[in-house]
Amino acid sequence: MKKNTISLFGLFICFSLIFTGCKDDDDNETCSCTTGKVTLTIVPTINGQELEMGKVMQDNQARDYWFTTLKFYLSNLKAVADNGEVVSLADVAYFDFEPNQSTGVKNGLTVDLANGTYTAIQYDAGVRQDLNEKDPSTFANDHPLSINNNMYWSWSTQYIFTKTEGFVVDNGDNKAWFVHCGLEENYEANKTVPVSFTVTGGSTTTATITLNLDKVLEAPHTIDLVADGQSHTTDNMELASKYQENFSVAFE
Amino acid sequence: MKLLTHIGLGIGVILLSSCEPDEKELTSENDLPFPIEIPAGFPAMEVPNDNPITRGRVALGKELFFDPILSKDRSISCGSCHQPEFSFTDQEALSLGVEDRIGERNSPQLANVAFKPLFFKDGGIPTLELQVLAPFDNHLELDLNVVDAVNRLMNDAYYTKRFQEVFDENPSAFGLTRAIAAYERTLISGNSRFDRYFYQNEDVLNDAELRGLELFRSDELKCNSCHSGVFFTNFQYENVGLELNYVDSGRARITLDPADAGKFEVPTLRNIAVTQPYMFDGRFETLEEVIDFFASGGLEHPNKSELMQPFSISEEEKADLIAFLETLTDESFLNDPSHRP
Repeated sequence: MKKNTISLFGLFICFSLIFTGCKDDDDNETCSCTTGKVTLTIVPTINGQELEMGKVMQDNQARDYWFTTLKFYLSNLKAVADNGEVVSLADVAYFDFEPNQSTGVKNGLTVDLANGTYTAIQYDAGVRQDLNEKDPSTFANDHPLSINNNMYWSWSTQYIFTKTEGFVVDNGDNKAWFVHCGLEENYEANKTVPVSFTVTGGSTTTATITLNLDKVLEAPHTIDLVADGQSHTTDNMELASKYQENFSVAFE
Repeated sequence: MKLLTHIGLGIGVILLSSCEPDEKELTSENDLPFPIEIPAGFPAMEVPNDNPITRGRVALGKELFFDPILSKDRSISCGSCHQPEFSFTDQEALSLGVEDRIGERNSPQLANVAFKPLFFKDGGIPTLELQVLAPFDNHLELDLNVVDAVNRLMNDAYYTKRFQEVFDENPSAFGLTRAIAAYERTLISGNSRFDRYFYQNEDVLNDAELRGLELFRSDELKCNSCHSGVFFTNFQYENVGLELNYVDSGRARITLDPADAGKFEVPTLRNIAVTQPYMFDGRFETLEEVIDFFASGGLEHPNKSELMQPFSISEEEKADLIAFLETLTDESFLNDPSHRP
């Protein structure tokens, strides 16, 4: 009888282990309420309106022009708290505003962040050099540096930091314009854009940043989409450098 | 009681085995190392950790290398410009890409690419795996974005099966680049008559060839200043004064340094007799023309190598030098059926 009791007890233990042992760790831990989420969203604007691909707007020379492509990388994204603490959000983030593609518009990212009030976002425009040297085929499809994003120069094995394309009407003709900017020389580091948001434990808040595309043509360098030509960076470094510098400070 | 004991033991076995991850029961043929024989005098081959040279990867890589499915209009493959019988060149000055678009540089040979530190004539690509990507994007070559190429393979039942067999996953840019690079690493050429003479001490070179070797090493010609070592290249970048103004800036395209304008990779001379035409743009049809050019000392470009000095060479000496260069041809490599589709 005693032996039977021991065997039954052993069976109970075994069944208990079988039905619990292989279970994945539960994700539904009780919220500590010390962190929440922030969705950082970038809204490109042009002539004071939200960018629409293909919609005719006016450039800085009062010519009709429109965008067909706007894609870019920001690195070292950080949030600045009101107490001065700087918290990392992402090593690199990819933004893509083309609506007609399988991957869809990528206008932001959502990350965990400690509760508190934040006053600014810090960023670098481009892909940080240590990441710029990576093999794009090694990244998962949903990674910002995935080769699927078509932001890689295979001939020089580096990422395109900013890819903008469109058309400008010049003397009645639709002329293609594009700037594909990359290379370490054009990496624009340590930029800051003021934006206030408060993170509350267990909830998601939104921080919206405007990318002023009018400023990209105006400050600090004036860019003429016709006269300054096109650029794959190395073939027109002057335009690529001016464009990336303007772009890096066009966030508001 | 006995029944309970058996049940308890059975459950114990289940308990011990049920949480283990699935594993392949046996190592498949695909996972076995591809046999690589390093010729005498060659350095050890460095292979990246994420791309072991397995039989499966090499076989799949060869299939992909010769399959026009990877060009935009399915008209050409890697093997169109890199043909085994010509040491993986195409004997064209500038290769034709899709829709007969003319390329910008002479197609490089692929013999011994496993040992190269950098790739392309401007050295812009650091690994063989990354090199695989470049012809896809080039609209003068395959002109098929690698993402589209992978999608094309995904929609191909045969390749979906093959990638599953080799990589345990559907076609991907990772698998595509690894497979082709693995195949290219097997393209080892080190069995020329010169190799048998120099590394195996066989008496296989005739008098003219030996005289050519002496000329090659001579202080006047100094060919081996750049074409040195077991691969007959120092893997450096030199401007030899082909132009006064280079349209193709060469190494400077990568470094952006004007001092590198007109510099191109010193090519290997192995199998040089079958890789005509010569120079970065295939401007010289014959080795005679190449020797005549070097004898002239080249044009006075500001970046021209100091080693480029004019020298005199008789017709007989030229014939001897060419006879020596022809001893670098590795017939067994050129005719190796395992390299072919």
